[in-house]
Amino acid sequence: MIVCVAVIGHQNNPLYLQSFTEADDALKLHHIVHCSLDVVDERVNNPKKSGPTLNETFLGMLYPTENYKVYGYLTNTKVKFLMVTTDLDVKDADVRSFFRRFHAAYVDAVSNPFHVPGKKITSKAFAERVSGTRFPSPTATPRSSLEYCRKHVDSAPYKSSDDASKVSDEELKTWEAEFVKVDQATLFDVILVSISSSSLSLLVALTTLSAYGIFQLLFSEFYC
Amino acid sequence: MGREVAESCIDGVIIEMVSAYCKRFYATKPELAARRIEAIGYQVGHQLIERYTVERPRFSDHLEAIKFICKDFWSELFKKQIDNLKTNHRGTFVLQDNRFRWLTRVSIDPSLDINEASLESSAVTPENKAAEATSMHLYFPCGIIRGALSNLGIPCAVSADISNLPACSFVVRVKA
Repeated sequence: MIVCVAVIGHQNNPLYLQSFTEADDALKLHHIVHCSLDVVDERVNNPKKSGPTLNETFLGMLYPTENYKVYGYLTNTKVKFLMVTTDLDVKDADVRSFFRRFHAAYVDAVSNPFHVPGKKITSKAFAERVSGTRFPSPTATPRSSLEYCRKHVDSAPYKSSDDASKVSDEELKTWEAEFVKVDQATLFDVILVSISSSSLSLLVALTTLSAYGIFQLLFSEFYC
Repeated sequence: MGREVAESCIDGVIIEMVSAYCKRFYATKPELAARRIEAIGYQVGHQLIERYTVERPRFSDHLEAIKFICKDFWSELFKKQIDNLKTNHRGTFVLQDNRFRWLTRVSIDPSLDINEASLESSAVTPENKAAEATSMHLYFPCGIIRGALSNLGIPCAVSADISNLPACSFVVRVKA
């Protein structure tokens, strides 16, 4: 769950600070962002390893606190993007793709002729885009998708003989009935993930139909 | 993504902008007109470099940044690269474009101004007037280069040299 994103200009002036928590610790998040700036400077000025990672834009995890992790990204124009997240096992690729989308939104916001460089970004479209790129928050849902795929892969060998396959179909049905009996929020997250990953068409159909409550009726069609 | 615009429209807008600032807004103060046009170019360069350096690793030194301007930035703007880059390795770079797109429509024949030459004083020759009018068109690209380089963290001064049209050289002096 991304709780805070920040854009800091090249003179370490804040251009955009947005926290996404309902709790009252926005100030604490700002403080964390402020402390991470030192780490950014340190990373840039004393690179640990030379070679292909020397001048990359993505800086990686800056430092972990007790609840949060901070990731950094430095553009060519010395603008820093910082992202504070409460997830404990975020994948590198997800963070990179988040920063890529965030960079694209920032470039569009800065290309506004009425935006004064060096002043805060006041574009509502930018704020909406940033809030939008947080979803799907990719940690809870791929695990359940992975479970789903594994279950189907495990059950595939049983489809050889008729009797065994009938039994396993029943088990699969009950398992899938349980699988989609989660709360609405998770269900919609799973739908979003399956649509975005675009490779689990069965999962898409399954979750969408379950959302509309006609799962039982059409299940048999997938297997005949 | 997005929609496309014809190149001739862009060329027309830029020519008209220079003409408007020189003849209507600051008709009596050409230095102010030049500064305004250069400031417009500065902001445009500032924003464009932000867009064209996405997904690129950071530049290690000034020469890398200038080479980026010569190759990728120039080809995004004009669909060609800078033809010649010279440097004295002490902060001065000369970017030469043998056929600068925004100057290809500028007339280089001074004989068209014969009527005006006879009416004006001898101090202002047709060549001077033509050169002055042409140099007004160069403040905008100088501003673009200056804006792009300052956003990359390289403060500099950019001037243009039109000794042989339509080739054009931009002289970049990096401030220490």
